[in-house]
Amino acid sequence: MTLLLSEAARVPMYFASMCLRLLYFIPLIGIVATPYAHADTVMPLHLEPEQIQEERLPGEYRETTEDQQQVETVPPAEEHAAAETPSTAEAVSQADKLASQDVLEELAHLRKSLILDPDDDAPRLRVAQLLYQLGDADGAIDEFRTLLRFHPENARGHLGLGTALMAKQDWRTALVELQEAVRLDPNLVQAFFSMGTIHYTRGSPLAAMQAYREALRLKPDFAEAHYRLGLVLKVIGKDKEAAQEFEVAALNGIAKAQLFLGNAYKSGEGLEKNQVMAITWWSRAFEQGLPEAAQALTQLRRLAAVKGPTQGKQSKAAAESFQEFCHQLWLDFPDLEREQPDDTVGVTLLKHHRTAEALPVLLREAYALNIAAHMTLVRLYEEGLEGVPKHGQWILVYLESTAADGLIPSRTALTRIYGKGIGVPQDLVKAKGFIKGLPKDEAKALLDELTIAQTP
Amino acid sequence: MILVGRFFYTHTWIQALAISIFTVALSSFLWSLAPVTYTTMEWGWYDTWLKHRQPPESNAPILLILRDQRSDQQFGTGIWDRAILARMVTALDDAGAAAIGIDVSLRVPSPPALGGAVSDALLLEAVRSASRVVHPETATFPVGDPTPASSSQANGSYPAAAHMQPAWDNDRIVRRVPLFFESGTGTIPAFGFKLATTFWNLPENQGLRGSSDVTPRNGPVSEIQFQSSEVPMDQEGRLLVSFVGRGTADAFHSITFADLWQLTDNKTSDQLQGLVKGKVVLMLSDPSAAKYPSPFGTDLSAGVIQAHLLDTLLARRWTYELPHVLQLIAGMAVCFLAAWFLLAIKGGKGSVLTIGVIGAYVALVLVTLPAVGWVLPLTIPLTGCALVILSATVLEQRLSARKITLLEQDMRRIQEEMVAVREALVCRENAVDALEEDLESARLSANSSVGRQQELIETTDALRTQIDEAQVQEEAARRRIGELEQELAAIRAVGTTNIPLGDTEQEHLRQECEQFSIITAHPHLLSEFRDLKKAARTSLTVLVTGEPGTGKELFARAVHRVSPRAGRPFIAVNMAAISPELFESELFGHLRGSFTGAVSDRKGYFELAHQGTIFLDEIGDLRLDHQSKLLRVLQEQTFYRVGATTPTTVDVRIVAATNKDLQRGISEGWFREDLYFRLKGFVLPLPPLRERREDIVHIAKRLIQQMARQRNVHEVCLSDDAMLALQQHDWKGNVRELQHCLERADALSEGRTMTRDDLRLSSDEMAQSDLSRVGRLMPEPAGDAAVLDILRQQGFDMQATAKTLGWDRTTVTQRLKGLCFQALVASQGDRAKAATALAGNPALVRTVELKIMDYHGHLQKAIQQFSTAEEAILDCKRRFKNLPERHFKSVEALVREYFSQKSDASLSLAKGTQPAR
Repeated sequence: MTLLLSEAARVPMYFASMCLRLLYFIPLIGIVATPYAHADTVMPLHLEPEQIQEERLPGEYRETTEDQQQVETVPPAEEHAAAETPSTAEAVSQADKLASQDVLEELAHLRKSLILDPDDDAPRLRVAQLLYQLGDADGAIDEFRTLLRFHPENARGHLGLGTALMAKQDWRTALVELQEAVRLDPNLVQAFFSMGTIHYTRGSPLAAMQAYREALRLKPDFAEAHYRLGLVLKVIGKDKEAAQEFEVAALNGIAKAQLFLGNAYKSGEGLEKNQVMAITWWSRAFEQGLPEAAQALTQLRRLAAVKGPTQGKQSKAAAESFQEFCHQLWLDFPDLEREQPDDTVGVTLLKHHRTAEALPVLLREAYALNIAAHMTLVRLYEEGLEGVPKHGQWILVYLESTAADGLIPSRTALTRIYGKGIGVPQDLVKAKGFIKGLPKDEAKALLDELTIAQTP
Repeated sequence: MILVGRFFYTHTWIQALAISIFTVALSSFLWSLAPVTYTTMEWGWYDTWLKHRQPPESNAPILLILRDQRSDQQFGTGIWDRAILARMVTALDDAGAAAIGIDVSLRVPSPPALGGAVSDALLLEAVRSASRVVHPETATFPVGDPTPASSSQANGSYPAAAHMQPAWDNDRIVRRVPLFFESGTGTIPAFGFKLATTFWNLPENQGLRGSSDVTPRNGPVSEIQFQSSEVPMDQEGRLLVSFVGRGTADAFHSITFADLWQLTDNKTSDQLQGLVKGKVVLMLSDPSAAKYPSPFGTDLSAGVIQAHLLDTLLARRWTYELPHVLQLIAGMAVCFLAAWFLLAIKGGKGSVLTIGVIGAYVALVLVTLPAVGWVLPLTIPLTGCALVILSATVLEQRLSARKITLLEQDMRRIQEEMVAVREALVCRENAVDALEEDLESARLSANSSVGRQQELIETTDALRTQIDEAQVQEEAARRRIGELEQELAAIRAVGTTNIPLGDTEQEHLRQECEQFSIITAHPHLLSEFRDLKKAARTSLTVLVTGEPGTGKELFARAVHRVSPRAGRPFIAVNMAAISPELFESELFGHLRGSFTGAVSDRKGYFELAHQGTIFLDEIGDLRLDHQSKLLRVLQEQTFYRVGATTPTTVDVRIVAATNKDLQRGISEGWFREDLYFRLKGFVLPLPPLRERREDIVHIAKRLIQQMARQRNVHEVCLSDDAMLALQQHDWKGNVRELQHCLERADALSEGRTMTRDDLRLSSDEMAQSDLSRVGRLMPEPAGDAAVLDILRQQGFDMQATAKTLGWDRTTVTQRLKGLCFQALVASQGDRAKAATALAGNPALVRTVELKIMDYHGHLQKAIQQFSTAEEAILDCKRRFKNLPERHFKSVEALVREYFSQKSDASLSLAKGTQPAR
């Protein structure tokens, strides 16, 4: 990973990003369809495949890579306004406005040039692409058709028209245009990719598979195509091949590919069952804000949290998987040495004053039911650290999330936080609510502690 | 074939069975032309019952998840992103749902706007991990069930949800659901059935094998112990759905998707568990699911219908319907009962019982559905019953005529058999008599010759044995006659031929006869006329027999006039009057130039009578060679004109008449037997006038009226004594003689009253007539006339006659033997004449003739060993010692005639051989 921002500037921004991600999956409404939701399968007109993951259509559900995550200032779940902080939302809105103004200015300039030279293909193609980018699919289609009247052999024109028609859900005409584009320029990766989408939508998964494979033949590192191909393979029941494609896409940072790969490891469909690997990939997807990944991890955590006589084989295996996951985190930091068996990576990094690296690792470990990491986070919340202000909301979000999963340490911590009003307004009712379900001794101790705290 | 026909005509239950089969087949055929109306009528009661019954509640563990306005606000109004369903499926599985059904096909891809392949893959993973999820499969539609213009097909996609589709009846109402569908990979169970098998935890192959026998391995919930059960499918593998409630989804426990989502969101899953654990959860999320018209009059989605199927299977709330074959059998049973009552029980009672049968069946149909859940067929049985009433009426009319014909045939057959047996009896009697005579002769010989005693004893024993045997045979023949007479009496009792005529009917028939110039009030003749009317309706050949002047031609014309051929020609041909050379030309016609004098084509009598009736009078006088020619025409109705090479076919009804005894003609060889049997289709023996003396007065009056009308004078009256004289006279010439007598008297009478003297009837005839009449009235026990009269009355049955007279049978035999010899002498050796004279009734002529032949033959055999007539007479005196003296004179005359003929023959032989020398 490449850190582009300075350490000091990154930390608070990162915390904000993490908080937003965590809030993102709590209501789990991110899967509700948006007007342009289908555009995740349509490639932007003016971009090459490698640019796909950088630029998105307005309102599009954003899937980001890990690299992007390091450089972006806006968290991935920005469309969920309920979860956004006002400052971030305003920043995004401002950036969008500026971008739109630039596009409109460019559009006006291009239209002027087209008045002087209507036959010129480059400005008309650009006008059509900009119109599509602005969401005017009908206007874009008109411009593409005008372009093709003057230049019927313009492959990009056909590609653009096909893509715009896909936005209008005119699958048949769009396919014809894309096929024409491919005939004129057999190296148009975007065209094959879009054809794959159309074929799948029209109920021809085999043709879709072929189209995606053609796109991958032209551009083997096309992560989105790997992901799409994996999806088609999964739908038609070729789990093993699907898992391979998901793996390539997941390594390239496609969050949903990571989710499906984690699912494959969990269920053993196409891969050997490996719960640790499942946790690894779900964690990565979760860190990108994917609610399904959060849900999967929550379920597994609940299973692992079962203790005592009711603990079954599955619970035990889940708990062991989380432990193993924490052990494997050491492999990401070969420069660190494990002094004690109970040491965690996050705590060790803190000891080495590598705070920026330590915090996300601590969160991972804590989410993986590591008590030491959990205690460290609670301490950080209550006391803070150099470069880490106390009462961090991101830690509170973690605690509430895991408390809802039934984790006793989190419930205990929240009882204390709300009972004593640490970083939050004191709320005894809420605090007592967290006591419910705790072991009797622990509950009694907490109640005593709260009573003492209330005594003047 | 004839036997089958006879069996059919004589057995009511066979007729009822045939009618029931016919009517059910006909109504099935007729309703097959209007299947929509048929189905509407057939299921009308079922639909009405569903609408108006107390709606039952679903008690099966089923939970429906339904869309509502809140769900649409939350997730959108159209088709939802499958990721939503994926999450719900996972949550339901975690909460312990026994089976989960979703109405979203995984084979139809999501559009990109709804998540595309991502959502598809998520739902697929959720379904796989849950493992108890049933989703619509691809299937081939059952033949005859058109796909509704539903969402999937309207979009041009493959109908993946086909195994959710119910079956439409012909009236476009959904009452059944096929339990199995054919797909590319084999048979797949219906959506609801698959859910049920998943719930029962059945092995996969059991739900797929297409059998109605399902035996769950173990239930997912302990309290559900589903035992082996037969699912009552119809022939097409469809199950009649037992709808609960009013058919809508409200009949089931349900929650909305929004509520389910809320429960899924809650971190504590207890509430969701309590709601869905151990239940079949059916998620109906497709807003554009095809709707099908239900028996309730409302449209139901395929998912709701599958929920009803699921409820039917889980609750085992079966509604049964009969297989097609049993439906037909039930229909036939009802029709059979209706037809049997109509045919077997005459009058209004049969009709009432038939209506009762129909009513009882309708009541049964109305009761069985609510009581035991059986849907019985209604339309075909009721239509069949209506047809039964029509058919039975028509059949009854047809059968009555046919039954009469059959009874007449039976009667004739038995009469023939009786004649044959009677002849056999006569032969046996004769044999016994002859043997007794031989025995007597042997006894006498034994007395006279002691030396031959031993031989005679042996002969006596042998003869005694033969007598015993002959007596046994005679007794058997007598028993046979008794049986046949009983049978004949039974047939007469059943048939209408000899049903005694009522006064009204007699009067009616008499008036009808008068229309044909037949004047009679004689019951027998009126009865014959009634039979004639029945026979005339067919093309049966009629043979009219009777003495001259009995009115044969009148009856022949009557046959024509009452037949359907009345409007066609009636050609009367006197066979005796046709020149033998012109026989063929006259009867069959000729072509021009076929012989000298044939200057033009000429149609024969047969051709002239085409489609009409030909009356062949005096058929007994036909030559043998002509008889054979006529035979062919009677047999095939085809003949060749003289000179023609192609046959001519005609449609002619034959009526023949004769005053001769054709049976005697057969035995004597002057009449062909095959022609006789061809002619005697319907034999009409006309009694002579002397046997119907009550008609004489009427006929005489009618004749006098005719004569007066012809001469245009006032008609004369008959004095009382003249009337008595007419009635007492024998009228051997019958009506013709009566007519001449009256004409003569009319000419001779001077006043307006005709007296006995004017009639000029001879006194001998009168005296004879008187005597015979007196004899008949007061039979002299020992007198020949009395004996003969009783013999005639008893049909020349010796035993019966002896019983009547109180005599020994041998005495009666001796007396008849004497009468026979006397008659032979009177007829100068002509046996036929002698038999006619003795028999009195033409039907007995043959019997008497056989007796005469036998007696005469035996006499000749007895005397042929003697060389002179005297010796023979001496032997005969000993042999016929019981014969009265007056009869022995006849024996003597016959013996003398025999020897006279013998000497003549030897003389002629001697003369014939002399020249040779």
